[in-house]
Amino acid sequence: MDDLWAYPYRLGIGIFMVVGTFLLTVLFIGFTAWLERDFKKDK
Amino acid sequence: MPQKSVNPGSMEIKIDKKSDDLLARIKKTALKKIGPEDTVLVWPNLVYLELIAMMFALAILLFLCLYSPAPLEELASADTTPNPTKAPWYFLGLQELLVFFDPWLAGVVLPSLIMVGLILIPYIDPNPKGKGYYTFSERKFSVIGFSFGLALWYILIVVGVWFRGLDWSWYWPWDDPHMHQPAGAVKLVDLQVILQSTLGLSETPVATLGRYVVSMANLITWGIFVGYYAIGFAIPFLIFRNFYNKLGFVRYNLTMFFFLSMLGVPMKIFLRLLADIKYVLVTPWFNI
Repeated sequence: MDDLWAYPYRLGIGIFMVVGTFLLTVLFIGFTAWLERDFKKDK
Repeated sequence: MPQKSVNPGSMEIKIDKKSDDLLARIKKTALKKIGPEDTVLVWPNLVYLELIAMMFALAILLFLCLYSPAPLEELASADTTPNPTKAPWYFLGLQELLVFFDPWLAGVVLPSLIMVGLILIPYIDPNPKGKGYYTFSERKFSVIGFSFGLALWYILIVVGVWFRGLDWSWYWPWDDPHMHQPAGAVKLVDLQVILQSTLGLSETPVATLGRYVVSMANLITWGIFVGYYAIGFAIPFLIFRNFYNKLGFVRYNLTMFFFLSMLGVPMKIFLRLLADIKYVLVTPWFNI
């Protein structure tokens, strides 16, 4: 198998997409959880 | 003027004699419950807030327009097509999908599934919690599922906006954007071709349906495709029966179909990136 790191950067793109999607998902969920906590505090 | 006060829910209403007579005509049950104790009126409480939010958003947009005007270019000419030709940013997710999927799938089927899926959400979600307030703890599956889909969509847009350059090649921030990337040495192969060679299957057609010649390897790829959905439908049904019972037959199947289709998108992308598989399933009409 040829070098996955070389152009067209298949491994790099794969890792970028997995990590990026995971981080964004965590960010969105974290935002919802934060809003929930913040609104409960207001009550 | 004689005044009397009633307290339907949390609202204190002052009424005079005339409306008192009217009030007597109204059924008692109609006044019994107006809302929970801690609710406030839409006007002016909510509408004022919305107005302020709208003005604030408008001010930010105006500032952005002045600071960074729309990148309008010269009149389009068929002699000098720009390279790369990029769609507006909000469509770049779709354009990026075209790298990994059959054009009919990336341009028609997937956007339609996304839109129909979003429209269906209120009908297939039986959870009454989280109406009018933010909650993660009471609707974990919905929030995780939606956040994942949204994140996937945004990552595709990020890739399209910042990582695609000349010839729609991938450019890291440290690559020179003016130099063409070398011609790719990767040869993408359909899954059925890989199966044919690794399992030593014959190319003789098993069946012919018009222009669709079905080989044994092609049948196996159908099995893999249908099996993905079958296993995906079966696992929550067998392990989380409560999830199925809450949703019911129709809503469960719709939810799982859309959820598995959404999960299938990154899976297909990785099959192409890391296993050099062009299409999992090949037919004369569409490829997946």
